[in-house]
Amino acid sequence: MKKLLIFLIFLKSGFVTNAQIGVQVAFNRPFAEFGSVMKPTALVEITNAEFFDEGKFRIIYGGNFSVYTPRLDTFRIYGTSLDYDQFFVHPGAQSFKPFVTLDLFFGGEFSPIEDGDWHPYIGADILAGFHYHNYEAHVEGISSIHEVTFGTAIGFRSKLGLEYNFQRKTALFAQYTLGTRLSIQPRFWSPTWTVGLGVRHSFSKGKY
Amino acid sequence: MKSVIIVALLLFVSFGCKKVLKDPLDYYPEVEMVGAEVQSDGSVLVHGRVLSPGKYKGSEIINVGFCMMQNEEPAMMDNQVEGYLDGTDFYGIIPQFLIDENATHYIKAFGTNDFGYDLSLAKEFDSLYLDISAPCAPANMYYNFFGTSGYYDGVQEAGTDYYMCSHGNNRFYITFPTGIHAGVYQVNPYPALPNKVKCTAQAAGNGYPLENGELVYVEKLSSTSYKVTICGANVPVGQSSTTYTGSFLINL
Repeated sequence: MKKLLIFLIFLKSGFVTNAQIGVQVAFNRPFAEFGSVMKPTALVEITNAEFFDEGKFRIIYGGNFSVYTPRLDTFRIYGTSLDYDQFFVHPGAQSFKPFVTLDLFFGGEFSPIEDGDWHPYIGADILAGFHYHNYEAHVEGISSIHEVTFGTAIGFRSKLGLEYNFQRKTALFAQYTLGTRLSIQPRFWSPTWTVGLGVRHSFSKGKY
Repeated sequence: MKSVIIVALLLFVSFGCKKVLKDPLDYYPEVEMVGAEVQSDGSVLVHGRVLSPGKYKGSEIINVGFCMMQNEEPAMMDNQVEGYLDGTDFYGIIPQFLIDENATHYIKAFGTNDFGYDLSLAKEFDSLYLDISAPCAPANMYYNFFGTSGYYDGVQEAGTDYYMCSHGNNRFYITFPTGIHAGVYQVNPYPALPNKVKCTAQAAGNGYPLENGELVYVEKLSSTSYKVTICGANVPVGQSSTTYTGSFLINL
């Protein structure tokens, strides 16, 4: 809880001047090999960013959190062996506990429209974070693993969005992101896309 | 920053092609067991088919094979034999010594791809045994053999059956990888292979292994005795070679 408070103070501290705190809830869809294993889930994100009418380009940073659950109780995997010149395929099974990610990101967004209330934008973020990974894999006659990891990860994502500012204090936005993170240990890619809705609000007194 | 955004947009397109399949089981390949046919040498040609390499884009079959047992649900490691692909069909050879007379055999096919494997439903086969006679009939069983299963002479591998047969100074050694069964075996220096035996003929103190690939015929005489016949097998002796013919009795 203390760490969360420090993070919120950091968001509010003016790293980005005249910034607005944003909260987004998104549908988070894993894809590629990661999507073969994990179900779609929710992503909750907190951000801090400038308003677009202070310039076409803005810096954004924040953090997000997601919990992925496996699509099956067990997945059929296999291993192989070579005994002299005889080749064998060994059956196996793999199971996952929920995979939890907590990432911090930093990036930029560009909107071609500086004035007005509507701001379509594109952007990109780099991210670094942590995850909790707990899985078991057994291949008959070859290996048996139970691994629990609090690991680190790096990643990036690109995004498309549309933001509407009203009352000069608050903005609503819809955003699509596509990106991936690379877990360092154990090493694997976890690409996802998200579609989310969010709100930003400036807590500064008067006009932001 | 603009270049980063351009790269990011390109990644939109490339990653967007990796569609997630609705049913997670669709990532696996799908195979079926088609049939089995007894060959003239007593081995069984088994036939499987790839129904799908997996529905994920770019999936392809990596390995195929078969497993067999005398119960209705053979596991993948039961008497497993490797298969080879020919289009969407695949084939494998089950050596004759794995086939029991008067027994029902159940065979499954399997295939693998990058995501996992599929094991087909079993097919039932009632008559896969073909009695194979040795092409020669040595006049006498020269040696009065005795079984020494489990005998260890420093070269036996764990899990193998080792037999030594002798008469006077002449000896014959044979190692079966998984116990003695009727059938036609090939000679191999490594007895761990399921359809191979290691054979050494020794005359007057000189022991030489039979050449790799030579055939050894094992006939079941009773529940406790087998007849082993070797017909003119090549035996390399230094730079030259000789042949070896013999018929031996192994009592368990």
